[in-house]
Amino acid sequence: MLFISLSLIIGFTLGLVFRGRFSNLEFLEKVMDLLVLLLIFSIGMNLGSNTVLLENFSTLGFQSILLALFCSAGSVLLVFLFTLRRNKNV
Amino acid sequence: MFKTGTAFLLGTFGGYLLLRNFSLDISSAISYLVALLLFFVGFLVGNDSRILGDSSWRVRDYLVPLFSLMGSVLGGLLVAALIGSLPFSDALLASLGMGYYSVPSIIVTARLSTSIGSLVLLTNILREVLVLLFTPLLVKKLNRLAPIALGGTTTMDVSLPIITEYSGKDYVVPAFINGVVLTVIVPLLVSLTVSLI
Repeated sequence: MLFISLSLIIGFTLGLVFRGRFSNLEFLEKVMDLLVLLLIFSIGMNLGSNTVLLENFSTLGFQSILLALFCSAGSVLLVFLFTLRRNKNV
Repeated sequence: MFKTGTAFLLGTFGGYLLLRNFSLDISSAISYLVALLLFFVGFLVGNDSRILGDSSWRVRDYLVPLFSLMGSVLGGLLVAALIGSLPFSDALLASLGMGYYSVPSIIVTARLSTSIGSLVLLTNILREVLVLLFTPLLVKKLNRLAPIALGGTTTMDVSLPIITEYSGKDYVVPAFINGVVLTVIVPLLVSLTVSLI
């Protein structure tokens, strides 16, 4: 997984090197928008085709859905309360 | 929210109907896609003179991992309190994962049991799905730090592109740091918890 972080650093370095040479990066942002949807689609495909995971899901699904929802909500809520107290204009 | 949800559902049904019968593993293709997206994220941040020269970095943004971890544990323990059949220790292990499913579930499977390991795996895979689906909604309804809080360890890789898109380029650095900090401490906390149980 190291190459994933490396590609971020390489992209960052090239961005620095070519700073000011591109007047408009909106095109790149549009491409990224599509790639993000492709990423979500492929993650769905990967999960939908994983038979071991689907089997586990039939027994542990209810508990894991509740845990995922409550843990996520807890994280979001606590961070939200923390930022609300410190600064209203995030 | 609508776009991301549709993409996910189409993918899941597509994978179930098409890929399931072939032993085709697309996880390495997904890693390359993430790498390509992070290359672009890096490029956008590096190219924007505003972001790194900006002195308005707030300490607050860097305390997100701490509060996010505490909130997750509270949420997990609340689920155990609601479902009598779920032990508090299992809920604690699942909530410590913070979206990191590989290493924590391996540690738990090896040292406790396969079923608790599977619970840790599923909970945190779902958490990764939740951040991908709900980032647009969270930014709209709460604030731009909310997806970073939800994303946990995934904010350094899988969810960084969508956070960049919705929270904005200025949140790439705090999101990445949040992911790195949690990716380092989550396995340690899981091992520690396992040895205390």
